[in-house]
Amino acid sequence: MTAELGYLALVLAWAAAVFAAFSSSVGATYGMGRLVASGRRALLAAAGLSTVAVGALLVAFARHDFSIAYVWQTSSTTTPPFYLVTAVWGGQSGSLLFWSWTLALFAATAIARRWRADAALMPWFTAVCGAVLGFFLTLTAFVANPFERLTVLPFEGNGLNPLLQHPGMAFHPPMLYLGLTGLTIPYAFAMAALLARRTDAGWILASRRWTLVAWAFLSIGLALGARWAYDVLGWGGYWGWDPVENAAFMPWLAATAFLHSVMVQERRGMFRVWNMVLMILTFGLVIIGTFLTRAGLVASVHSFAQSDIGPYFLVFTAVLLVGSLALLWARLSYLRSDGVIDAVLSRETAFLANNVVFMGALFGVFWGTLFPLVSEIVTGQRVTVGPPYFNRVVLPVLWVALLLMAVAPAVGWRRARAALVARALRGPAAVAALLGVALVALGVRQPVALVAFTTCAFALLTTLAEMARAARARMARGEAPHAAVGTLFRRNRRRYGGYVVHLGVVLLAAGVVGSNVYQQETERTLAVGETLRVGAYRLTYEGLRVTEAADRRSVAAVLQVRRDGRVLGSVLPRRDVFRLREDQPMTIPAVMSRPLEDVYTMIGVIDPDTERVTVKAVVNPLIGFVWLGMMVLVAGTLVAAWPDGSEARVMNAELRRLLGTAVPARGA
Amino acid sequence: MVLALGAAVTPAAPGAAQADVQPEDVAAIARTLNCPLCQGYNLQDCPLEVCAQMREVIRQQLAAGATPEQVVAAFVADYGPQVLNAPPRSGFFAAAWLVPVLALVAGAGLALATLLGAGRGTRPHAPAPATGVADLEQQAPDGPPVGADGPDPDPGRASTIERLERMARWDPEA
Repeated sequence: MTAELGYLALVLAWAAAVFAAFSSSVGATYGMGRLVASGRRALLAAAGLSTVAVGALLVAFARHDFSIAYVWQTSSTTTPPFYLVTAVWGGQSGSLLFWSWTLALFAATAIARRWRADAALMPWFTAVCGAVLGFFLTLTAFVANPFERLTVLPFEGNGLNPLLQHPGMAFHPPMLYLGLTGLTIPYAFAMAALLARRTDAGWILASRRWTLVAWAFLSIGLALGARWAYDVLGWGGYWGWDPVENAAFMPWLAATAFLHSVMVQERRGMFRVWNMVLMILTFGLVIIGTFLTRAGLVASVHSFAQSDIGPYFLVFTAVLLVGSLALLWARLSYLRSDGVIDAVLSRETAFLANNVVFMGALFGVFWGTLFPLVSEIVTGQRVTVGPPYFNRVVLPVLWVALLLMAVAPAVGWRRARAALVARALRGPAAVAALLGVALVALGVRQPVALVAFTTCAFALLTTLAEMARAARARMARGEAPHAAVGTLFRRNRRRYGGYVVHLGVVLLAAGVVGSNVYQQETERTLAVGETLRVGAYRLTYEGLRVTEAADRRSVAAVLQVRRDGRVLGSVLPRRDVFRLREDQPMTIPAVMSRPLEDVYTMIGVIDPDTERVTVKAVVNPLIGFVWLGMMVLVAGTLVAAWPDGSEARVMNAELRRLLGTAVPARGA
Repeated sequence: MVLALGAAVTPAAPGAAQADVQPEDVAAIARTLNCPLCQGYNLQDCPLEVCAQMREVIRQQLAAGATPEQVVAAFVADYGPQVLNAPPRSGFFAAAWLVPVLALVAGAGLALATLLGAGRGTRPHAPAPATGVADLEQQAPDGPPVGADGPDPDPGRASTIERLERMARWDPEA
């Protein structure tokens, strides 16, 4: 009964989304207010109905209704309740339903909040969202139906893939989906602006917070994925340039370029066409990314959710890109630039360079991800494009981004005075250079590390100096230091939130360099009592420990960790065998986190008779900076995106001053 | 199969030129090769036993006096270029490395052309219309016009008013 109810809701949601697309576009074209209004209601209904469908699937999981193929496939009676919830997005059809649901909720929220504020855009916005939602619900309802019944009734389910039974993995996919579906909203606003011929910065104002929020979710999703890889996959790293990682990273890169480039349009009215292109590209990459993940076109560790929906995505991607670009072409005359770049040394140039750099990095990732396919088509020979390629091709480009991040905030708009720029950068550059010398004196000899660390210091110092300068200006007017900083953040959340994001990027970059360039690794087979040395640490193998649980059996090696003769504690890297998936044992690493580095251990071959075990130990310096940097980055994004009454107050005050009339103060 | 490989690619007789092989040397080679069974792992990081055996093959070959290049070449001969975890830099595969560089150069060229074109079209005295909310944020008492972010010299009043009228309808909550 639950399955029927869920499927009914799903099909109705599909119908409502398709109706919303038609009704809204026809209504908007011919100015038929009632069609527009019913389009709006249809999309809101689609959101409600898809919520019912998700609820029905949850109930089916809670009841262990194994007559539903998807429930059978991704859960069992021994699956813990928490993972019953996460199983909703743990496979192909469920994740498509989840995708559709979050998209519907986002679109409904945008419609509910902005219907009157952006009256000209919203009908078209509804139409675009309805069309995208309609596509995803078509797949969910008619191609990969999560409510499909099995012809036999099994007593026990297949169980959730053991790899996915990790807290990081529980939240990693939904965060990514929220980021990816969230990017649909600014895309829909962009298309609505073109369709409605309202091509000023209105669509950017309407959607900029959505872009930031989506970007934050995408960042959280990527960060959790990295953490999951580190905690579960057991190779001592957190980013493998896997095609599916790249599929999520590419829209992130494009959205990052967009978030910067859009400031030039807001402030100077330039880059109008380019920002449209960036938005189309970003959303196109969202769809291509989903397609790459799902279609199994490129080999990946993420083969949890593959199927035959590839062709649908290919057609949708083609329609989407051709349609969007054709629309942009048709509206080019509406997108004339208000201004020109006045001088080479200007903030505009810096943002332009930012765009070149991010597009360059994006293309490097794109080309590397698709090259195996290209190579197979051209030469018939498939090649692998792995981390060595991406590290060499993409990382130098991202280093330029880091350098730009250090310099750009000091460069003024329009026509920057070279003397001012030099004055702002002199101090930080000198300190960074001193740090470089100190690092050499301390024995850092790797050129890559020296260049990267000094660049990090440079960027860190210019960012802090920029914030300190603004705070000092306020303190000169008698504000206390903490109040001055607080006022800065309140007055201009976007700028200072953005600077916090930059600080996060600096930390992240330092962590990435430290943990890659200075990683130390040892592997040995140990008998009980033997010791392994890795870096400054000694790991003594004290024996095996076996634990039985309802759903799994764990064998752990107890390793005592010592440094300089002092015992720091024990780590227990282990191997889990899940009863329902005995063919797929999980090797779970154990990590001891120290302030400046991690001791990362995992076990390989275990000889049950002699208790001899192969232990691999890795020292990852500065890896904590990676996680810290990601958290700071997300915190900064939230600062920038947080609803801000004062922004509106400033604008309304200005409006009153300029017009000399009483404009009601709003949003206080 | 893997053991057969070991036999096939270890030409030197045991005991011939037994050099001391450092684990780091094995690891350095293993990191450039892929696990043939699973995706996403290199030979050094892969937890599978097959890969441990393949690492042992690398060790044996090094012990037998093979250079790292010869070891890699032996693996490529057996498994095809797919066993390398980055494309070779010769023939068609060089396109993997060259195309992103060319794309970046093209992008930079395009940006430069935009800049130079802008330089020609400079209108120093034309009132540039202020087109964004950022201008307004700038009017906030956010400190004197220090450093980079001073207020615009010419706010372009008329278009600002027009814009503000539109923004008065703007919902701050969104």
